[in-house]
Amino acid sequence: MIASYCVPVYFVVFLPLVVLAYQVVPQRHRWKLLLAADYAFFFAISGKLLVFLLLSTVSIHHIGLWLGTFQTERDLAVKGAERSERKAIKAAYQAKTRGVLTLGILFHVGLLLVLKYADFFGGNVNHLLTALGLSWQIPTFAFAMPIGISFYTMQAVSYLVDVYRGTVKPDRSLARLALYMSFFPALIEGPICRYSDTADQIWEGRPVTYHNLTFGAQRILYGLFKKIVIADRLNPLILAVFSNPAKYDGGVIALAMVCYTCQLYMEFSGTMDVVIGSGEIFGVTLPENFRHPFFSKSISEFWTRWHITLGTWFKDYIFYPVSLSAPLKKLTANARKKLGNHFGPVLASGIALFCVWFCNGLWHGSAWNYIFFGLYHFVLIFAGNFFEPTNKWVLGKLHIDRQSLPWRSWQVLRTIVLVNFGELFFRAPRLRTGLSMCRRIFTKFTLASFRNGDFLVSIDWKDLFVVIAGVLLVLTFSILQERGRSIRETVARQKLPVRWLCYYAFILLIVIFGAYGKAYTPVDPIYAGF
Amino acid sequence: MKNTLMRNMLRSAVFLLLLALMLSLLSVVFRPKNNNHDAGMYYIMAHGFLAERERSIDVLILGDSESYSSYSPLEMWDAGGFTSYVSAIGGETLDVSYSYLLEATAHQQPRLVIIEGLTAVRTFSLNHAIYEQSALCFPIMITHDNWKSLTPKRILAPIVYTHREANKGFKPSTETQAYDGSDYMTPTDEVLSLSLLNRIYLMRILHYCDSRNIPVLLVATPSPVNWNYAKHSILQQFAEQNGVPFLDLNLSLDELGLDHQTDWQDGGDHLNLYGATKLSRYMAAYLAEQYDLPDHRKDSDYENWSNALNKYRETYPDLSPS
Repeated sequence: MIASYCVPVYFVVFLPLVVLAYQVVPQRHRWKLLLAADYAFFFAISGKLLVFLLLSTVSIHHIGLWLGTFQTERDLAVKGAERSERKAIKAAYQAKTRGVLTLGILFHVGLLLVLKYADFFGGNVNHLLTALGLSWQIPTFAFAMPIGISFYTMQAVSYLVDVYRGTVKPDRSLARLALYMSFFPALIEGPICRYSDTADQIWEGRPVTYHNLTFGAQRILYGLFKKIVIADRLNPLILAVFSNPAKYDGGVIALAMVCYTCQLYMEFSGTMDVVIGSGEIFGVTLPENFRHPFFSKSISEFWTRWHITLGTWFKDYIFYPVSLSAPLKKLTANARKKLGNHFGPVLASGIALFCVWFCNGLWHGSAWNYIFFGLYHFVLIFAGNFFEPTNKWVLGKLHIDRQSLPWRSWQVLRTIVLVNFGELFFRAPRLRTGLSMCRRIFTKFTLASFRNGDFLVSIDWKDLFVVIAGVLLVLTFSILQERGRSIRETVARQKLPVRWLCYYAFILLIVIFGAYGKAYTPVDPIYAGF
Repeated sequence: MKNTLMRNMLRSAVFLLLLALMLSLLSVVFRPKNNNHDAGMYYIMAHGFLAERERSIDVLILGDSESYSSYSPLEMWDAGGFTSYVSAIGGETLDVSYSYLLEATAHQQPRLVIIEGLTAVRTFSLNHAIYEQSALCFPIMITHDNWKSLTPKRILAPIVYTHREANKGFKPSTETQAYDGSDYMTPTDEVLSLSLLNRIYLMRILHYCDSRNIPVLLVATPSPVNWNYAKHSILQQFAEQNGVPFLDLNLSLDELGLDHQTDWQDGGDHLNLYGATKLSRYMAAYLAEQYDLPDHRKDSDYENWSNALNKYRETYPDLSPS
């Protein structure tokens, strides 16, 4: 019924009703209201699949307490033990807690794998069996997926690992954990929150202040602008070209690729604005997921600015554990000896990097194009690290100043182009289609469609004008924000008529230039599918 | 503290009031000044009633593709002498029907409103309903895309509706694809329930029509592909509970004289021109008997209907009643 944060039923009905009720209810009972709203929201989208969320919540509560019990026992045992025995006690408890943690992770990741990937894995096994000439096939299953499972599973795993690491104390309150797992603004598309950052904020039931309400509403408005005016307006062109790429020349395919990257950014970051703005109204600061990624000078930097919470999750819970594991540490030491201080560690850390990007690709969806998307970024980042000294040497020889504007601009442009090609595979219905589209860009590239106007597939010049104007507006805001200016604070400092004029202008821009209504097909949120 | 709260609430109220005012003003600016495509009107066929002379339509038919494939107003004019208009779009839901009802009754004073059965049971989202409702308050929500063709001349132009639909909302099809399925109206114990939103909108339509003394008739036009006994039952139940007449033509295929081999355009989904002709003649007789509908055939004010019928007969000569 809701399934998106950018639909009227959310921002006109659900959110205002919850905010109103939340404000009316006494502070000590607000968590109950929020939890009821969270589950109602989840139920409205996924119905009885709510049971999976409940199961995950109860399990992390139980496993967290289990880990906590072992940790308390360990501390007591260590305290009363001789110095010589302490190491052995710690090792024994380490094994126990690691076992419990493994159980917890296997449960959650296993559930995700079964619900999200059973069909994909089964299908591929059957393809393999056929290729091997075997007539035997395994049965495949496609299950209904609860909304946001990819996001809340990561939150569950991060909580368990943090408890295991001792950075978070196991929470005795099932209700607080339930709130952390199901906070409705972050349920469908993230951001992937950490228990230590958000659990207490949501639990406290802070009052809705006029400042939070207006600032949150402004952020929501900005998000709606990005989604409805820019992202959705590009959809007809993207849909037409990606559905039938063989019909178009390389120039049009390149344009569709750029448009899709723009759509994805505006859609996802716009939804994040709505999500974070919603959280802000309740006095909850959710983590940022985007920091102007198209100002990045490298792919590595890009991923510290794009879907930030996913990147940091993979860094903290995959990259570091893998690269700091005993076998990899040993490998790094050996490689350092044989290949030197640069190539040795880079090659060894490549294994951890590979794990991260394979998982990143697979996390996005159960299809080969997503795995390719992940590995594409692995190759780019690994190559960037590997050739860094060579790069430095060449630039030195050519006397190119790495801090100069032209060089930095080139780096930004290069990153944008590389990101665009990655997104082409991300959007393509199949890996084969992505490869064929990529080939057409290089082999069938022509500007003829741009000269005769045929590049405007399913949109017209006026649509294009709105998109360009919208992108320029977002770019201007992004530049100001990158320079440390807060647009909302700046507007808030103005006199009331100016402030209201700004708000009205923004609302009317969305109402008039939004791609919604009878002439448009509603666009499902892209990341909700993951 | 209390003063600050009051001030903020008052400020918010003024902000929203001004916003509503702006949206209303813009709705006037963006309003299509004609009921044709060039003027920015959507679903032109469904809006053809705007160009009909005021208060000249006796029967307003609201529904979906079943309606615009089944009812031929000119055939009913020929057989019963009353005027009708089919205001329908494919896959129409009740919230849209309600909007069309309000729009139509601003120009027309029908003596009867017919609601398509399939539309009555077709579910729709709350989101859809909110959008339709907001468009009722601020039509710019529908017409906002007219910015593409907006000029000062257009904004200031007077509203003149000139696009008159030749077939009065009927979309004839001469395609024929037989229905070769079995009897689809076998009584079952299957119980479905009408969704809350459908119920709410049906009640809104009934109350609105009641307030204007317009009788409402629920009619399920024949469609083996889309209709079944379970749907019949839920609508029958609703009709009985609310005292509204319900005519299920799916139970009267023999009375209509429908031939499954010749009267479907797409294998039992929609009636074709031949099937629609039979249904329209049947309905004309039924409505003339059951409702107080005038016969305008000798009224000079309705000459354009006779002219339209002549053209219709010229276009489809083999349909002339023998």
